[in-house]
Amino acid sequence: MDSTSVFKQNDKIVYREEDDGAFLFDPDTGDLRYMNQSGKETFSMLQGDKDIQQIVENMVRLYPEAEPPQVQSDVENFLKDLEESHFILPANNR
Amino acid sequence: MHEKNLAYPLNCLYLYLADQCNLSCGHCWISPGFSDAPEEGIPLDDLKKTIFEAKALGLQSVKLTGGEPLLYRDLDGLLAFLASEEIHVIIETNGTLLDKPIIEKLKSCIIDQISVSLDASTPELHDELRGVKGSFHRTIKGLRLLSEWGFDFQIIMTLHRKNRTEIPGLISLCKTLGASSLKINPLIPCGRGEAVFKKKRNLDPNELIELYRMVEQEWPSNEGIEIIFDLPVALRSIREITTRGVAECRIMNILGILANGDFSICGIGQTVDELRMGNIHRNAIATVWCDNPILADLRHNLPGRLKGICGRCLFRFQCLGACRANAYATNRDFFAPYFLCQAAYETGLFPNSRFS
Repeated sequence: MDSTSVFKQNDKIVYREEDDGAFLFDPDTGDLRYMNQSGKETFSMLQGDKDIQQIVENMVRLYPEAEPPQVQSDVENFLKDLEESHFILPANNR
Repeated sequence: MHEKNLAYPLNCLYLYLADQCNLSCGHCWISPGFSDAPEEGIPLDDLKKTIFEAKALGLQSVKLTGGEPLLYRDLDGLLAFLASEEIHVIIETNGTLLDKPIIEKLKSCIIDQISVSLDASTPELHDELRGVKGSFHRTIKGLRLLSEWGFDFQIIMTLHRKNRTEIPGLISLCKTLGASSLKINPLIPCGRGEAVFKKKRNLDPNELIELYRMVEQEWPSNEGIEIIFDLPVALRSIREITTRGVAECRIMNILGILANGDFSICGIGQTVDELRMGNIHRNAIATVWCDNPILADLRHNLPGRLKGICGRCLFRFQCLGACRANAYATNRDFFAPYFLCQAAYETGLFPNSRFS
């Protein structure tokens, strides 16, 4: 995973949004991830074909009080976990 | 020889050491007899042998409960054995019998958790709910001892209609006494709790959910006191799920031993005879754990055969239907929906986003 990586939601995964977060659910395995508000925002940015660097920049704008390196690390770890669990798939290949 | 079932490690034994209790709580799901005399309970020699054998199945901890576990005549011997085997210990007690000799014995053990029941912040209401006058002061005395000796402990309240306003008072008591958490358990319609439901002294799902939200907003865990409102995961907020994770029915990794030495899936065998599965005197625990047809049925069919709202819930793989013992006790069906989630669904309170 590098800053130009692009991911997309795995079509087999069920996404459910609530006021204060969201869930990802794999109906085949029962695997479940719950996301808080910032996770939900990060996940929603995958829809726009953004790469990791663009997502980080957007999140830094949304959370100006947070340290950018911390935001970068949080976003990367979050997406890495989702990729390893097959909730998201690599979409690039620019 | 039983390697095939090590896919289900037996992490914890729930030891219902005594089937008597020195309190008489109207809601108790185990329904023990009333006595304040020390009780023979689970035969210690057989119990030691069983615990030792269970280590090969993955045993790491035991929960000492009852009845009142501190009435168990061989408690000293059991604690010494658990300490020597380095088995972790969880205790659920009403706290009234805690004294210095018991505390000293506990100090020699690896204690994971001590949970003490306290239903109100005032003696009148607590004693009324617990059925014995003076029990509040005796429990407080026990809690002070735990605190003085540096134990990490939790206070558990069972939520009735009558004590629903006691939560702030109990939070204050937790702070004063040095408890690390307050666990709020809704009543379940099991054992004596069934009669409480019939008299409508429990909270309805809408009242429970409203109170849950109020507790989360008004008293977010602070000043070191964690507030755990024990609703099924499908009815909890994402904020809490992300913080505390998904609680599940632990039926795949625990086994109960009742006061007469009978095995059961947990304590439910105390009130539902057909869920007794042999006895520690006659049966090896490995045989029960690996070959018992009740456990095999549960392992093969959870969560796939869950019915009602549980079968449609997004969380069914993690939650396993909240409490399968309760489902069986109330429906004679291990796969019946959990009463609270089903009631929430039928009254339109189950979140739409949590259907799969």
